[in-house]
Amino acid sequence: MKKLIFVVGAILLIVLFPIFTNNSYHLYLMNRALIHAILATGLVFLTGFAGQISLGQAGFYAIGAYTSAYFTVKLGMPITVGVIAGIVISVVAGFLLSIPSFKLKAFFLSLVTIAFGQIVWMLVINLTPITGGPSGFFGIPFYSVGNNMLSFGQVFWLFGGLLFVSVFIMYRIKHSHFGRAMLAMNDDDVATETCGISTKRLKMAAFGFSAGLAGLAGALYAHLAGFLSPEPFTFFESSNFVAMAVVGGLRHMSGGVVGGIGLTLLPEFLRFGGWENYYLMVTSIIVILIIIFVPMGLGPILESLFRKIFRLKRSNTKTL
Amino acid sequence: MDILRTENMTKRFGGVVANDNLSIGIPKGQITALIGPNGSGKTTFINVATGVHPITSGKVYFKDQDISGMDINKISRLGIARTFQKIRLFENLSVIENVLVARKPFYKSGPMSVVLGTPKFRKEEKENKEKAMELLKLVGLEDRAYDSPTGMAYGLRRCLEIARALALEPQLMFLDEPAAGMTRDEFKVIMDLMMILKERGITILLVEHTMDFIKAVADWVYVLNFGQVIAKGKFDDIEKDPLVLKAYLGED
Repeated sequence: MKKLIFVVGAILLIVLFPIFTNNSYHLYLMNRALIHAILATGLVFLTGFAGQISLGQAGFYAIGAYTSAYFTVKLGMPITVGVIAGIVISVVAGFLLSIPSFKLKAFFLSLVTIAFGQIVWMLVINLTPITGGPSGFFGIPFYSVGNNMLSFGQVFWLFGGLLFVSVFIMYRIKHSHFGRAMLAMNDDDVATETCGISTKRLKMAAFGFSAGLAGLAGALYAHLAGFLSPEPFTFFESSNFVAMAVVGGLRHMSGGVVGGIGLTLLPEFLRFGGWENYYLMVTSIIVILIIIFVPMGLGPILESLFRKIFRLKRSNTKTL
Repeated sequence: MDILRTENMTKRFGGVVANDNLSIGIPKGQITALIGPNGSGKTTFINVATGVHPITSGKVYFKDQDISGMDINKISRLGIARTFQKIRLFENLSVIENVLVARKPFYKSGPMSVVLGTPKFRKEEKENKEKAMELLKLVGLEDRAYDSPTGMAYGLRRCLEIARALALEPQLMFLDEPAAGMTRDEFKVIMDLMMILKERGITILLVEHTMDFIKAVADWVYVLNFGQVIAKGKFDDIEKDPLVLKAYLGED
């Protein structure tokens, strides 16, 4: 009973977060953090579970963002349609990017994904009729129901719900024959094939899923910001997304959530209290320290802490 | 009748001819042994037949279907399972999950029913877990089902690999040196296991160096040297073949 109260209390606290604060900058930040959490969750799936690398995730993020912006502004579609279009086109791009992974591994695959990110970035800059180029894409509609604009707090619940659904889908897939096959592929490609499993199809699915989440994140960002410029879609952002997944825990269900939220908020915390000039440097140092001293990531640590507090036992039927 | 046969199967690695125009038939329902000195092309034969290495020239037929050039996973789904000379388990999965991986081709639920957790998927999951548990019982690993295979004794790891191969419900199994590095007791376990599989109607092709083992289980023996068949027949006849003695012991 005590457990239940704690758990419900913790969930309520998170859900009610928007009520405790009126500071719209804090809420905006939390919304950005949730977007990053969705994207990093896709990377945990791709890298931690299926064993593939992508250093071009900002490419999918851009595809989702600009597709949704184009559909809503230029074609006059509702936001829902724009977001779905962003996801679909990202997934298709993800399928295509999975093709090099049939033959390439590790360094070579990461080079291809970097190149993919760069290609998308160049398109963002040069495909001016669609993207607006360096001068930006303006007038993207904000979330609304009927004629009522949603508040940042309501957007927080919307994003939180989408994040929950993303993690839930990943959880269900992981604890199924698909997830086992992906973890197996992560260990040994050839042995997985001799179990009658097509690793090509698995890699396509993994790239497609992570690209879909990145596309969703991009589309959500477009309508949150209302304006798109090429800056958030550089290689720097791609590596930042990988850092989120690694810091949160590549092999842990909560890795994307912990890393995505943690690494979005950390620099902001450091911004206060006299660290203004050094906050990016300190953030990087903290990331390096976490990777060195907690290579499993913060997700597993939080989980064991949680288990200690609520005295929960680990079920022995599932690994990880 | 031969369940698998090769026609002029050749495999070259650069200038090295590992399998040289091999035409071999594996009789259905029996245990066939492939022996020969190191580097004679035994493991290459298995790798080419299961699709792990692409064939250079020639054909491989499984039940009269041409399987040369097919993807590994397709060949496996046709009912050809294998183990590896150097054991290859999924170290990040538990023992039972290792077996369950090879049950994936039998699942019919798509991603949608998995995410929704439909009763059909749950039933499938339950049935396949039972099947995996049965196989673990067969090889004596049911108590270790939820342990990690990492750090398990060598003989148990070999048994797990065999259980995983059996999960495919194969008609033909390639076992690459199953008794290598085993203690006397483990050796006996593998031998008994092979007789059980034979009784169940599974054809086995065995690569082995341990002659006692081959003498005890093999119905038919092929001897390879430098990628070619130099002798075939019953073990007792092979044992006396002058060519075989020459290949193993060198010339007088």
